[in-house]
Amino acid sequence: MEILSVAFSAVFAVIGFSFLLSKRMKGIVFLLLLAYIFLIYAFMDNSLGQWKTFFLVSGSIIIVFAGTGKSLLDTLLSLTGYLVMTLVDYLFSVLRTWSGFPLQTLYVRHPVPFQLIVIFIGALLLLLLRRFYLYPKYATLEKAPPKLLFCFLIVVYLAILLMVFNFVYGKSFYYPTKQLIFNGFLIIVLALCTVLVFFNMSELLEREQALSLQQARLSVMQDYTERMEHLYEEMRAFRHDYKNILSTMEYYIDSGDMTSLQSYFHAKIQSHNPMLSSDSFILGKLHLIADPALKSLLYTKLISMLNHRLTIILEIAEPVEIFSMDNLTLCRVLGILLDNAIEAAVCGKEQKISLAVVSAEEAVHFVVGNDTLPISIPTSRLFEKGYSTKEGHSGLGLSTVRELIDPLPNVFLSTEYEDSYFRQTLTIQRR
Amino acid sequence: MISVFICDDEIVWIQKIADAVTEYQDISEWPLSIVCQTDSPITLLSQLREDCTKGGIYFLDIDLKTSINGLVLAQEIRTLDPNATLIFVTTHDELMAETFRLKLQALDYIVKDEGDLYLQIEQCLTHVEQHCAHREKGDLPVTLRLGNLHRTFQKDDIYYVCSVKGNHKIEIHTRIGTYIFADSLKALCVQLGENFLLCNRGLLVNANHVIGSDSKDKTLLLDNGEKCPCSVRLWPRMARRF
Repeated sequence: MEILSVAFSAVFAVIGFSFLLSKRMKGIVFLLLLAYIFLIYAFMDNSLGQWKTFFLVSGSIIIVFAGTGKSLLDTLLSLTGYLVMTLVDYLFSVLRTWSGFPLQTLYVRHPVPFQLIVIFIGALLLLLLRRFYLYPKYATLEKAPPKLLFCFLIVVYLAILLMVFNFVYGKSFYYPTKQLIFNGFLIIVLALCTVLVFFNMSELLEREQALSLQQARLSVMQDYTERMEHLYEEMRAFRHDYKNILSTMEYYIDSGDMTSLQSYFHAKIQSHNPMLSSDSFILGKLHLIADPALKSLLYTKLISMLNHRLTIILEIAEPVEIFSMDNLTLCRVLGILLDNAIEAAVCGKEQKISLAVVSAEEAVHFVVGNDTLPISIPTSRLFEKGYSTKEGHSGLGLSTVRELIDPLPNVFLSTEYEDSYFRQTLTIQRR
Repeated sequence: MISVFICDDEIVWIQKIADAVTEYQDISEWPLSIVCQTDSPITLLSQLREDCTKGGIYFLDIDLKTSINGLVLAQEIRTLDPNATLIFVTTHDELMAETFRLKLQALDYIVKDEGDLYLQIEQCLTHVEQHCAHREKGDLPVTLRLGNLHRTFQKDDIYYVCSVKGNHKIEIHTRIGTYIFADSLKALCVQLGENFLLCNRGLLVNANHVIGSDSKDKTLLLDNGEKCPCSVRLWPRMARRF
């Protein structure tokens, strides 16, 4: 009987700590957590008394924190789960004592099914909470400022400490149990309300993120406009030059001075081809891209290529419109591909990089090419997690690209390496 | 006899290209004949319709100064002569190598204002000759489509093909790269023929590239250093063979 009640308490706590997490816990972490909680309940009950809750919570959140890759959000979620479970437990014990006969008799006669039902109800509540309330918020909450997360974590943790003190000191002053449970109840509700405030801030955070993204894009566009204006100035100067050259040539031709014309042509025109500065000229091709997010991404990357003094080949022949892929995902994927290409091209022999956006009837292709140091492994290994041709580099890029595009039925990638030229083609089929 | 078409808006360039092609005939035994040199895409297309040319070689300028530009002309040619070899003759500023390649399966391009024209055309035609020789040499390549993009693989270049988990995509691993397509392993298995063996439910391996097997973790070793895991059910058959 004793062991059964220990097992129930342990399962109860484990469900609380693990059910609300944003990602599934690793098996080994889960086992560790289970073992720790079981140990506390089974062997420390007598020596620690009411203090066991303190050790239980502190230890568990340390395990969760370490086991989820130091995620503050997951730690907070874990604590919240535990609080919700404790609340359920309290509610049932209150119901049991206050309802008098029916539930109390049920509990005394059939403790095992009763406990099981309580666990089941708690778990169900957590799952529903996760699926319908928290699940849509995870993505935004993950980006919450760590300071804020930390503050909320401290508040919730302190609430649990308060609960423990409430019982420890309350018992030593012989407060009635009903009173203690009521206090605990209030503390938990207070803590849960605090967490609720945090969860509801997700909308606020989302709006702020969107705003900062928009601002960044705006400044990129401003920069772009300035460059285009500069290009226009250059164009005017070029036209002026051109007219001068033509009129000089006209003079020579009219006067029939072929030798002077020849020397003028070779000296002035052939030797330094009056060219527009190709930097701005390249960037001008971006006008064919309609989507502002994509345009600003490509612009930023092209500027970075120019800063690295790479030889850029940019091909955009026709207007490009993409309807069949979420543009955030597309920008992430292209961002990774271009960053990789820039990094590799810097080490390449000719420092050449090429980007082509080819818009066809059935699909849009993005081709990113660069020359690079020789790669000695098959291309398929480049997709492995943690693989990188560079030392001290995380190499998460290409595996992330695969994670992003593999679920999409109309997006394809090809990766080729030949004659020290590396080329990736991202194809998005129109639906 | 292989028909050669040349279309450029400047007579000088038509002549230069024609000269280069004639010169190439002197060094190669390849039977080429220039059937059309014109500055009008309309003339080229009507000639093409008349002759019903198949597998011709086309040198095309991009900016033709007419209602039809080189890209549109190339598209027309593709529909009339699907096996056409398209070669773009262009200036550096107009060069769009990837666009030519992806949209029109253009084989090559020649840059007017860069390097020796004769040399470029010679290299280009040598390339075309090799390409055609490969095409005639029995072992049919496998062509896969992705929208308008066709990719052709020599069977020998393919190391293995595997399915991507969770959707209807396959990955083709070749000598030089990895390619993802929308296709099924089953359909491809038929095309690839008997040299390709199923070593687990989602992986077809080219037997010509297998150099051994590792019974410890039930994998096949390939000559590029990769390993292919076998399923328990198919392992005995694989182990017997390699």
